[in-house]
Amino acid sequence: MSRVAPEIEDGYLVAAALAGRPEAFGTLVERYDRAVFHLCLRTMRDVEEARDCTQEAFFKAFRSLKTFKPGAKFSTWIFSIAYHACCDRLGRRKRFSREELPDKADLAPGPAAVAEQNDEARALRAAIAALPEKYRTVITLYHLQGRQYEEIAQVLGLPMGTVKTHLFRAKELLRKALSNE
Amino acid sequence: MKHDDIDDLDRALFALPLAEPPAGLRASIFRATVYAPSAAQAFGRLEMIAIGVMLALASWLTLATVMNPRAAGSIEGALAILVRGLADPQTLVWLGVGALTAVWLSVAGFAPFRFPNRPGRAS
Repeated sequence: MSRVAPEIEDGYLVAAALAGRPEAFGTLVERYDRAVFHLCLRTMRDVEEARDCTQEAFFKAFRSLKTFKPGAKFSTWIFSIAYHACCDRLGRRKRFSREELPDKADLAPGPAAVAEQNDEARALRAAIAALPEKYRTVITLYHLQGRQYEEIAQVLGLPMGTVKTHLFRAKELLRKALSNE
Repeated sequence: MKHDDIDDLDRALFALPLAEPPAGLRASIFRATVYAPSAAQAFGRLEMIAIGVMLALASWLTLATVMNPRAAGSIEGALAILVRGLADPQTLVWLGVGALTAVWLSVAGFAPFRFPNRPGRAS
C-alpha cells in the first residue's frame, strides 16, 4: 500500500531540486512530512523529539540529495534517514532500556487505552505504542509502506527474513493485546 | 475488538490515520531547506559564464597592456594624473561623502529613520 503519489514523480522532483529548483524539494516535503513524522513519533514516542527527528531527516535529505540513486524510492530513502536519526537520538539518550525488550514488554493497554476501549483505532494505537521498539518500528513501516518487505528491510538495514519475523511477532503481540480487552 | 485472522488486523492497521504533525513543522522544514539562504545560488549558470568571460577579457587586456613596451609611458602618465586628482581637496571631499553614504546605506539600509518610542506610547 502506498499513501503517496507514484515514485516516478518523486524521482522527477529530486532531479528538479538538483537542477537548481529547490521548490521541487518543497513538494517532496509536503508529500512525506506527515508519514515521516508518524514514523518518528512511533519510534520516539515523544512529540518534540519526533518533530526534531523529522526536521533533521529532511535537512539531511536536502543536503545529501546528490547521493539519492536515480530509480530508488524516495519514501524508502527518507524513511531510512528518519529512522537512523531516531536511532542516533535513542542511542544518545540511552532510551533502549530493558523494559523495551520483547520478553519484558508491557502488552497491557495503558490507562488511555482502557478509557477508550470502544474506539478501535485508539485501542490499536495504544497496543502499537506498547510494543517493543523494534516491533513498533517494523509495524509502523508496514503501515506506511504496506507489504513491501524489501523496502522495510532497506529502511531498517535488516535482512528481509528478520523483517518478516519481526512483523510476524509484532502482529502476534498486537492480536494478543487486542484480544485481552 | 477481535482480530482472529491476520487480514482483519491488516485492515485495521492500514485504516489507522497518520499522526497529525505539530503546527509549524512543515514551515520550519521549509525554512531549513528550501528557503535557507544557502539554497539560493548567488548567480545563475549564464551569469557565471558571463562573469567568467568578462574576467578573462579583463585579464587578457591587462596582460596585453603590460606586455606592450609603448604602454609603459602611457601607464605612467595615467598614474600621474590619478595622483594629481587624488591630491585635489575637492576630490577628497567628494570621495569622503561617497564613502560615508556607502557606510550609512550598508548599516541602516533603505529603511527610513525611526525615532525611539517615548515612554507611555504604544509601539
